[in-house]
Amino acid sequence: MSIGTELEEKKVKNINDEVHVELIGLSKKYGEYYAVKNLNLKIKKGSFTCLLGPSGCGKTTTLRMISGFVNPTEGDIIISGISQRGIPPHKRNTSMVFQEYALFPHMTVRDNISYGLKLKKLPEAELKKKVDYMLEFMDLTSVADRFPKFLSGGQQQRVALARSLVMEPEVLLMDEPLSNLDAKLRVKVRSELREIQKKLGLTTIYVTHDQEEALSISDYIAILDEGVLQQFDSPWELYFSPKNKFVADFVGLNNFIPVKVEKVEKDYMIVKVVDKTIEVKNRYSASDIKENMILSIRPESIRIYPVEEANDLIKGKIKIHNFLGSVVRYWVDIGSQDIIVDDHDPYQKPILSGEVGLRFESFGINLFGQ
Amino acid sequence: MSVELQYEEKTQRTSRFILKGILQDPALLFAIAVISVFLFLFIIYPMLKIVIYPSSETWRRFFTETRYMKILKNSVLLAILTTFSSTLIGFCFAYALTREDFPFKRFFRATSILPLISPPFVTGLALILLFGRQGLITHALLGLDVSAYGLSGLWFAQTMAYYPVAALTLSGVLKSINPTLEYAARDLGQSEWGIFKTITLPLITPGIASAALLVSMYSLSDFGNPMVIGGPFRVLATEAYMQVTGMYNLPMAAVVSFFLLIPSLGIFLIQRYWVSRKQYETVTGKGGTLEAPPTPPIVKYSLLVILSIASLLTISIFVVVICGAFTKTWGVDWSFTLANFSYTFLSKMKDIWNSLYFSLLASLGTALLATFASYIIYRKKFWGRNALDLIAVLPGALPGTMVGIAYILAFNRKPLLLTGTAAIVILSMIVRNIPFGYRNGLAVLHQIDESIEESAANLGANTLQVFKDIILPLLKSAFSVTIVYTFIKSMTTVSAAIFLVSPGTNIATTSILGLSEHGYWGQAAAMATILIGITILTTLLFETIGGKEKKLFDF
Repeated sequence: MSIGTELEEKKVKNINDEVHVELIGLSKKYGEYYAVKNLNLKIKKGSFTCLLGPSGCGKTTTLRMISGFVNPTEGDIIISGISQRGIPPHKRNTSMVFQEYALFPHMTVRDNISYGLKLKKLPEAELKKKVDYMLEFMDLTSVADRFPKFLSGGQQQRVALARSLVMEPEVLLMDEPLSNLDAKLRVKVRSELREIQKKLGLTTIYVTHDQEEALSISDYIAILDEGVLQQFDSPWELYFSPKNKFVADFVGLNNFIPVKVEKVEKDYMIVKVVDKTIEVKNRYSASDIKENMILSIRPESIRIYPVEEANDLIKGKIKIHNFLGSVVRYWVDIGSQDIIVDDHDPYQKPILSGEVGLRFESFGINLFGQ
Repeated sequence: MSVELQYEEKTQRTSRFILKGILQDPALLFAIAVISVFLFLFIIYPMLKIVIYPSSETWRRFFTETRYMKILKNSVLLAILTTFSSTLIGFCFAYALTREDFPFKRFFRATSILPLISPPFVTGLALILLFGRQGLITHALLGLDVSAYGLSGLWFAQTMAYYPVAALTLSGVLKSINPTLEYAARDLGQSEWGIFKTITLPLITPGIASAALLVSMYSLSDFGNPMVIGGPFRVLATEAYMQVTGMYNLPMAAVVSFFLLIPSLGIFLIQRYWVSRKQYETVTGKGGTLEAPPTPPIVKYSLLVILSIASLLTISIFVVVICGAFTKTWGVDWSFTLANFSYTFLSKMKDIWNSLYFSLLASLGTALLATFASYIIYRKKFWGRNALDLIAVLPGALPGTMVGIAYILAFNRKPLLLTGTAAIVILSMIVRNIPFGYRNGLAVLHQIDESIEESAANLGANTLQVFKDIILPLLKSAFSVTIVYTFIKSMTTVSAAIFLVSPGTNIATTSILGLSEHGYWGQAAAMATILIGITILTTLLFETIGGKEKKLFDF
């Protein structure tokens, strides 16, 4: 079985193939500086899509363009086949959950959630029904008459979400909604969030700079850097098949080693790492293959052996190790550089020291141009 | 053991530890004693004197004579009018200056600072020069024989003097509203006007109440403007002064000033215990990153018109005063002269030096005392701490006139014989600025983690050493702001000082009032120009050296 079909299986299921939100050549310029440059994305109906990247990568600007708070310099946003050009935020079928929640401090939880429906001039009875349902749904009934400042961080976050959801948007937009929660709560709330989203089948676009959060929560992730889309894929593919060095570096931990390509065949390639040659699957187009390339491999894709068992392996010397419980992390000096290696079975063998041999598992290897 | 009990035991241990700590730290004991004695002696004791001194006969007379009732009504009427107009204009300024996209913000900010750093009676003086019996507009241009003296002139003068006070208070509140709230409301379908009505307005209502209360307090206790332009329209502050200087009736002056105190004190207490509790905290972790949404054009341009008119009026007030300073005899001979200045330098130089000298000492004293008091009261736990906290901010509610009269009554006999000395003038300046310095200190202390001091104490420093080595350097910016603020306020103060100065200790402001009382407009204007020059220079110097983060007036 090829890697490709394996991937297909791990890819997202249950998602409609219908495109719900499409960004076409979207750009935003501030003066001479591009916050977002020529962004093309097709977001499927019912999917949870993360916009991920370091700060200043343009992810928040993109979200604000979709919401209508920021006007694009070029390009268009299509939601359900309709161009959103010139449509103000509240007339779009989107609803935004803000990073700082933006709860109205002088209104109770119930009033916060009712606010948008009141503006829609919904009949009193229907409004109450919807709000009551939402309070129940978000487990906020017991705090309905409290003011936001008397709620916990997680509750505030749920009020903000409820206030958006009650408007029954087609597309839910979230701008780093968990960044104000402490680490433990963040993990809990994010799985709640995902559960709610799945239950409602709501197309969700979510901005975060936390790659772990993005990996755990999304169907798809769009990685942006300096306003340019780097890769748009499922979390699995991003992690194991990054398209470029930026993605490989940004998502998870990676070792980067300069290598020399010695032989190129249809299925495989031979590359030289330090003084050893290893076989790598050829998944690259001819034009991408150069003589000198960068090999990336994750710490968990490297096996480490005591030197006496390591005849034809890459040799190195352990500099330090960290015992992390389920993992022992080694820093190994292979002569030209240090390499991080994770050993996931620390109980099966003693913690190593001194000279060791390293084997690079071929499925974890990716090659990039320099 | 239950959680609560554990907690109980812990607090008991801490309180025992605290008591032990105080007894082992004589420096702290000494500091608390000094602060307590100062606050009681110079704030509480004089206030008590005001109440005790007059006989019951005097109290009865105040209530039965229509003359006093009329004056009381006048004061209240003026305060209501001024509060309304100043808060309205102040709100326009605050709203405009806190919008990201409002043009000429620096200019408007600068002009609204002008009244804050000038003697309050400058507007009155300018009005006389424009609309008085010898006024440029009324007399010279229109040939009318009317006068600006009275309620309308006074109302205008106070409005121009106190709208910046309202603006300052309100801009603080407006700034604390997260712009994301506006975005959220708009996302949910709210209109611009709807956002203002349902979000902005409810959120700033406590701020508006706060600003209005503050302005009414300023208006009630204003002495300079009623003195210069009140004419037949008597208010409590001027009446108290007449009782002292015209009729030598100190008991009645005490009673009058007591009624000046009552509304001020009431307003102060409402502000402290009611309005401040109504203030909403915005629920947010990190600050908003969204730039503030654009202001609707119609709002923007209406505000621009209002602000322009107010600013132009402010500027013309100062221009008129400066022109007056260079004019031979206002209303009669319009030729240019330097005589007013040479007169000032020849015969009034001593008063200006006194002003500078007293203000400098007062600002140093205030900064040291208020900062130190804020540290002790905020950080140390001791019995009577809450009372001291109240007393430290109380002078903010004391009308200057009352302070002046109270000081005459309290310090005219041995062993506390201070009347006639420079010390009593300086002390009155210190006391009146302590609330500002105290709050300033608290604001900074609030941000300093207690563990910093604890670690210093852990290394063996006592209270005074911790204050000197750790707190003072960290409070440097609060300290310098207090110094400059107190200096400017003391340079421009008049209401308390006018009762306390004697021929040797006259200061510039009382001198100016004296000159204008006798119709020497030119000389009064020249001296006012010099005074304003000094305060403007001080402000500019401070804002240039202090950079962005140190602002005297934080619009």
